[in-house]
Amino acid sequence: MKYVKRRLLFYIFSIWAITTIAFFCAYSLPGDTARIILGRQASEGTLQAYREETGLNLPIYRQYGTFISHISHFDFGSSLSFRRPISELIKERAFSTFYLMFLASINVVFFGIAIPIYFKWKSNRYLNAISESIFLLIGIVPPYVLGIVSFIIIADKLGWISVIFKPENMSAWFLPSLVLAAYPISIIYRLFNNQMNYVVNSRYVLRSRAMGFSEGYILYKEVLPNALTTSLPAFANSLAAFLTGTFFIEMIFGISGLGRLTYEAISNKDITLLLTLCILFAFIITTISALLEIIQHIIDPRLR
Amino acid sequence: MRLTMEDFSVTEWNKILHRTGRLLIICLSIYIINVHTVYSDPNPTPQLTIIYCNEEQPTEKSAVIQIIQAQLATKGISVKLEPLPTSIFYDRVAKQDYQAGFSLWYIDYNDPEGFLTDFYSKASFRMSKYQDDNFDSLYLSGLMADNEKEKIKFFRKAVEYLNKQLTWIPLYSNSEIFLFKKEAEGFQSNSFQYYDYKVVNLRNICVSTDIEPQTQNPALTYDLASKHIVCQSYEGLISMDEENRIVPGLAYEWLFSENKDQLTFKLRNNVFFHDSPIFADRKGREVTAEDIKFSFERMLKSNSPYSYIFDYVEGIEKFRAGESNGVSGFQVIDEHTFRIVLNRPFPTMLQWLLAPAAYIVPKETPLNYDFSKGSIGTGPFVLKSYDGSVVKFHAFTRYWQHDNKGKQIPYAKTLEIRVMTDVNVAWMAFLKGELDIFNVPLSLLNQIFDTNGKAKSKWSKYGYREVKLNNLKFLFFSMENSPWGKQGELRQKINAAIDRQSIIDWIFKGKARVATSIIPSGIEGF
Repeated sequence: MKYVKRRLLFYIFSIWAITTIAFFCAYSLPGDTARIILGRQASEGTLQAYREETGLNLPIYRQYGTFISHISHFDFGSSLSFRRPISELIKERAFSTFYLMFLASINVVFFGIAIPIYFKWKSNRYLNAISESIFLLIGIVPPYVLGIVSFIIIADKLGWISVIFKPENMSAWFLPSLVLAAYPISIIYRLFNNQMNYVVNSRYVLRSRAMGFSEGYILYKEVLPNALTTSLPAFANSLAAFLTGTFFIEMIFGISGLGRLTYEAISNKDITLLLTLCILFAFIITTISALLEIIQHIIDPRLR
Repeated sequence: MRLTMEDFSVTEWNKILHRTGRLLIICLSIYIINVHTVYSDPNPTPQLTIIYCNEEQPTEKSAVIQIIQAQLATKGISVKLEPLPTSIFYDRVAKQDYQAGFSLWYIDYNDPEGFLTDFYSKASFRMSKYQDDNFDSLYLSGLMADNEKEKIKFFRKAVEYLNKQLTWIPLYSNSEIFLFKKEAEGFQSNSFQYYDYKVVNLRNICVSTDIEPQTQNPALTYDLASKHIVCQSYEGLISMDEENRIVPGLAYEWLFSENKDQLTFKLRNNVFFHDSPIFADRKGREVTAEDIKFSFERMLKSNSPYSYIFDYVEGIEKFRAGESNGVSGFQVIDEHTFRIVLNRPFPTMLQWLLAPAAYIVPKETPLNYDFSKGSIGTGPFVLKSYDGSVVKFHAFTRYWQHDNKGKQIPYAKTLEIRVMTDVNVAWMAFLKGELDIFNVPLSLLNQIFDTNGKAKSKWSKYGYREVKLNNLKFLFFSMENSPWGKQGELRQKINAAIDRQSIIDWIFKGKARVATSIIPSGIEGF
């Protein structure tokens, strides 16, 4: 329990540190926010009024103070460029991003874990080798290139999906989620496969075989738990990678999610929005690693 | 004879080193003498650094500026280019931390004044910080002129004055090229980039925009993408047709008083707002003069970039200072009559009301109404939702306009405006029939036009339209901080070195016009 408390404190501290660093980074972005938002024809009076309305005219330490006091009450204020409550903006956009991440993790589980198990179960070594090299090939292509090329081939040349992204079509989600998952799949596939090979050739599996247990039973009960322990951190890392990966996936496929929102926030020097997104991402990533630690403790008795 | 290591004694090495050293020194001195003679020109041309913003229309800007760089280089003017993001660009311009810049200028209404404000020494934001009393007096006499003719006369003089001094170097005005499905023939747009879909004879219209709209709130509308969206759902007292003429909007007639200081509007009957929860019975009610007053005051309160359009209305100072609750110059005469009283004769007031910021919203509008949740205007399309990638509209069935045969306008049932930041993706979608109208970007002109500037025959199944825009692309100079701004002869030198026609032929396939004046030729009176 003491351990959990210590870890929790550590994560809270790191979220605070990230927020503070992000605040000062966003603050030092070049450009005058009021001018960017109100446009070049805005008069000095309008600019001043806007700065007063949003508190941009205060010295930096006071802006930092109000910022901290606001976010500790979960009040994220309203976006400078969109002029709407940030919580609403995020609520609107978060769905696509999280849905994409969810589908991508299903893809990872399916292609990175289920397929190697299936091949092992069928003991089909050739298929295994072929699919491993295919995933390796896809994995080493830069994701951005992979996204564009696959988009051109599938949407334009083959015409299987529409060029315009229609979120109500389930099939439209498949390609972006697969591209997002491509790199993590290639890593997890190899990692998991190697680990499985190692475990399958171990002595206790030999013992089970000798005792006449079925191959399926051995795989499920004895190989899987041991092989999964190494893939789990890789899986958690890939979740974090999805979050950053959605940035360009959303740009390529025209999905409006948090990645695109971040891009807009940066180009408009929208400090409040940028900071909220930063905190959100930091929170998600630290939560993932915290959960990972807990799960590892539960399934791996060696860590206890 | 084979050389061995012993042959290269220490003294041999020394000799070699000495010889190469001497050779080096001779080369160096020749080089220095040469360079010195080349650069000892008694009147050296300073290096020119041109900044430009690489976020708005980056392809066009970088292509044009590089050609200019090459053209100037042949005349011995060395140019350094500095692409900057929007945020830094305007910041540096405001601080006068630049030598020269490449930029564009457009206005939302047909009035030459819009292109001259930058030179007026008391204007709010001035790019070049130009200051000249002669120009100021010409500008002011034009602005304060009692009638259009006088105004144009003075503005022409002012423009001539500026052109002679070459404060800005005008380059060109470009056009918008549209390809559209034959069925979307009814699409209209004009030189001020108002896009009108209300007589497009398609059931569902789908179009794209390549910039993310910043707002759906008419009062805050500033960028083109937001204007595109806002002008589907909201309308002003007057509007502009596809030939840039002022036509009746919510007001069916207007009248300037004798000395141009009172502008009276007669409002149409039976104009309704979109249905919205802000109304007591959720049903849009009829527009009254009270709504006009409310909309204008709301715009003034919301830090709009267009709040200057009411600068000459009576009682504006008191309102801005917070001393009064309303602007005394906005007068509600009766339910369908609205008057703007000005504190001096100002005939341009009418044109300024074309700006999207002067669009009308109902007086029930709450202070923090979220305009992305639903529109509350009077326009032909009702905004249903905006999720960051697509703006969905449906037709407003009680829209006030009917066509000649008495059929309800708009014809379409739905309208979708999609944000597609990648133009190649939008092009793909258009070719596959997923978009109905496509605004052709610069990078695709090569594919559309042959070498003679005619549309290739393979596009003949689509409708094609070229709309000449009233904008100006120009070079401007810091009048305070750069030798280029201070010395007119240097600017003349640049002006003479630029071959505008070849830029237009190379990059725009002839779909642009040479600009020789700081006011583009389409503007009223020029």
